[in-house]
Amino acid sequence: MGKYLYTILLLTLLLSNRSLLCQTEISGVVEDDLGDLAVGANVYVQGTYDGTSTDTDGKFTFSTTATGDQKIIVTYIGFKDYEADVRLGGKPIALAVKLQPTAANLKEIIITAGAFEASDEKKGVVLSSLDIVTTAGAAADIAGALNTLPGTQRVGETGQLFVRGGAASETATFIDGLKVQNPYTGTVPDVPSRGRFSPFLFKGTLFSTGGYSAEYGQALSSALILNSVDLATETTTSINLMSIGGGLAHTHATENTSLSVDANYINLGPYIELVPQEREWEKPFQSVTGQAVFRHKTSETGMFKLHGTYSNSWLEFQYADLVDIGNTNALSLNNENLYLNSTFREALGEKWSLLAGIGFSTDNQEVDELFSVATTEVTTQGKIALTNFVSDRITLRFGAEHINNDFDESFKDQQQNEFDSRLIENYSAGFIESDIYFSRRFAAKIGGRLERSGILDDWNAAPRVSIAYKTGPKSQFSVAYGKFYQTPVNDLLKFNDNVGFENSTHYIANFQHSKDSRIFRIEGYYKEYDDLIKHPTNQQWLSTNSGKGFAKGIDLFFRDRKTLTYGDYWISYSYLDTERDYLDFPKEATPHFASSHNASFVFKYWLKDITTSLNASYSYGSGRPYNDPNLPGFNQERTKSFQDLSMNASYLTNIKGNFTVVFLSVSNIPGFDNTFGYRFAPMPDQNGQFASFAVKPDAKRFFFIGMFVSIGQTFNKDEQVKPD
Amino acid sequence: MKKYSLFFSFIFIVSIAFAQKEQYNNMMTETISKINYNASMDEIQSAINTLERIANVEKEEWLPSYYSTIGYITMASKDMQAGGGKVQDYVEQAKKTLEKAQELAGDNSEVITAQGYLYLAHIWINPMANGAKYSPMAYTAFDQAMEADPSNPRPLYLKAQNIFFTPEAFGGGKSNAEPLFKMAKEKFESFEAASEIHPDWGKEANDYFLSLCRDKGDPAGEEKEKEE
Repeated sequence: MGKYLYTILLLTLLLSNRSLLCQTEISGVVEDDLGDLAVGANVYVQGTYDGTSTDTDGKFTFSTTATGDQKIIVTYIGFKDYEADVRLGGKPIALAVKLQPTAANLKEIIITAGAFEASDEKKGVVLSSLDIVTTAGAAADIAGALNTLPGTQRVGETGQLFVRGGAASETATFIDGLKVQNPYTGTVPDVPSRGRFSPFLFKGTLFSTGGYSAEYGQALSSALILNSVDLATETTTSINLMSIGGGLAHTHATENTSLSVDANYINLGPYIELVPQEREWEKPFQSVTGQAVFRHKTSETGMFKLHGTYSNSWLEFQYADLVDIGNTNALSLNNENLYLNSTFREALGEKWSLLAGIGFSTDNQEVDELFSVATTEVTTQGKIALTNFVSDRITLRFGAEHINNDFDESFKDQQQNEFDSRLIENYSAGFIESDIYFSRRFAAKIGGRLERSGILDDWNAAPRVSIAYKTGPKSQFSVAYGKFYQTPVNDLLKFNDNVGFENSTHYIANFQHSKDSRIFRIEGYYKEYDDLIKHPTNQQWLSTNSGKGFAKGIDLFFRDRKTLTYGDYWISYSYLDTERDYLDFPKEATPHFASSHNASFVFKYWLKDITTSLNASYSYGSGRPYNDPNLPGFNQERTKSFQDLSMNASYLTNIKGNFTVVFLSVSNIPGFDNTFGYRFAPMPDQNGQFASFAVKPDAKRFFFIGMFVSIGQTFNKDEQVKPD
Repeated sequence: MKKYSLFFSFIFIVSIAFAQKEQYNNMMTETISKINYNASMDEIQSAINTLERIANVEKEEWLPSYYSTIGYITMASKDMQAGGGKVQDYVEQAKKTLEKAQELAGDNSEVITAQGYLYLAHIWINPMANGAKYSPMAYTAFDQAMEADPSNPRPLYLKAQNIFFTPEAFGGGKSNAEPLFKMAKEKFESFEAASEIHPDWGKEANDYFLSLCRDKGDPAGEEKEKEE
């Protein structure tokens, strides 16, 4: 027995000391593609335990007992596995390893010039989807929230987005790649509208204030690109009760399919009874909205989406008579809108992906005063886009779209003379664009767009280029250039469609630095307008493309999510200098919607003990130009500056086990007396003076209280971490 | 002699296998001790690297990948505390290693627990956006893990910990977490790991949280998260 034991012992000894017989030392250094040292990379001989991690100098040394032809493997997060064939035989081996980034890592450089992104899925974005909902003063309106970002000008009487000296019509809205013809609720002059679409419908928002992708067209200034949510994961029913109405929503979710339906009714009547308004309301704003959102996951990578919204809204109030200043006339509005959007996305093998979409909308609007205008606009569109992942470094995207727009307007003047106009536009466009990642530091987006307008019988080619360069791990510099074309608005085309595209050229330079949940951005831009529609006063049928103009400025943005444990804030400031000679302007002048200085301070705080999110925002806009015909010159006067301080609070709780949010908001708490502009009579009175009235908000403040209950859902939040 | 040589070759083969098994056990024991909240990021990464090397050799073992997952989740948690902005990277790595463990082990109680833990880690990336989605998913996973092995204390401990950090108004807080920590403590005391290298973590952290629950002074959430 002792003999056996001895033999076994010897054998084991031999086995465990095999290493003594032939050991090879392997050493070296691991660097990434940019020459930075890789710390903590895993280096080993394939199929053995032999290996080590690189030290803080990126160096490694280890011994292996393996012999013969072997593979040395180096793995490191964010980089492709490195393999080296070696012959091990006792002779030390030295390796200099250079790692290549994975495709995902390469694409971490974001071409940011001109764009603000809100997303929950992507890293390094400026906002989260929830920011749009919670921003004080925005009243859960997408445009309202984006108005706290630099590059926008507050134009309170419209409620729409005005970007970098551009009119509201120069910003186009896209849902899942399809252009939305009527993104705002129907409105009449001086009554602000809201976006038609709830921010809860979208998982990502890309707000481009210039230099945007060739995939999008028909916007001289800005593109608002909304990506809708995917499959709903939970079956829920929710009720909302508001001071101005209420609604019901139900979502049914199965593994691969979900359907959400909701209905809402809004009536401002009771509120107006309670809170005195400047205007005399005959029929306060009312609306009914119905919505259905269907999602079906067709495969692991395929998604079919169908979204439909129907809304009907109406109002009537006494509007100031522009001729007989001091008098008022009943002005009524009825708007009916149906919007359908359906898209299908699927990966076609490893290298390709497809997006196909169709859209349909019809908008009927009737405005009655002493005159009446009935408008019907029917839009049908289709789009197809393909993405080819050519390699880790190159992505190619191209596609085509067609939009048919049928605009029919019937105008009756005081004498019941009828004027009909009908415009049928067939717009086609194709685009091609490539993202090229030269390195993790340097990337470019190069593309172009070809558009044809049937009604203008004109076509254009619009090149777009963006380049981003990482100046450090946390900072980057980007520049963008692009040419943008837009068909003149229907309100001009109906008088004369014998014109061409309007266009603008953007030059943008951007620097961004982010560190520890703080982000700083500065962006300078120059935008040149050309071929703008110009016509003699009240003679729109003499329109030509002889207008031009420019806008230049600087946008600053700073967001800090670090300093306050349970809060964060952002500050934005925009400087704008713009002049244009268009429409009936007698000379180059700053348009009424442009103000030189705009600033916002947005503050969000989570009071964890009472599970309440508290939000405040302060906005400032310097005076806007208006034309006083009693004075020499044009657009020579400026309104007072605009100020607003709004607050809202959301209290999160459970009522009988159902997740409930109680929401309270107040706008313009200090009661700043804001004036948006002045309207002047078209003719002078007996004294030779043009009478006028001021355009002001209907009430100084707006109060809102609402309660949202999700039946069957229980609130459950990880409190240790602050909200975003 | 023929008989002997047969015997020797048998011994030889067994001893190779045994030596390798012993090497595996030793390496694992040494490595998993380095995966804890108090270790530095470099130490944890280095331990995960070792586990990755072990996993490449021991292709049938689920434990190396399992511990890599726990390691990456620990790194995600540390990074969140430090505000390093890399939580998502670690969560993605944890997801990869967990998939490997799931392939090898199927759905055993420990792997399901790790899945639940990983759901909690998803919340850390963006609490407001991900909380509503991943919190229920984590609880479901913990319940499944407890069902799969009622003696496993870890799902209960992680669930209790999440409740601890949830406001009292929503069924969270110390008073609601305490009974669960107590139950977990009992389970920890009677729990016997299948081997030296099978999961046996969480006991000290559970005791620590239990002590915080008994200290009725401050409201929940003030304390720094401590995990093993």
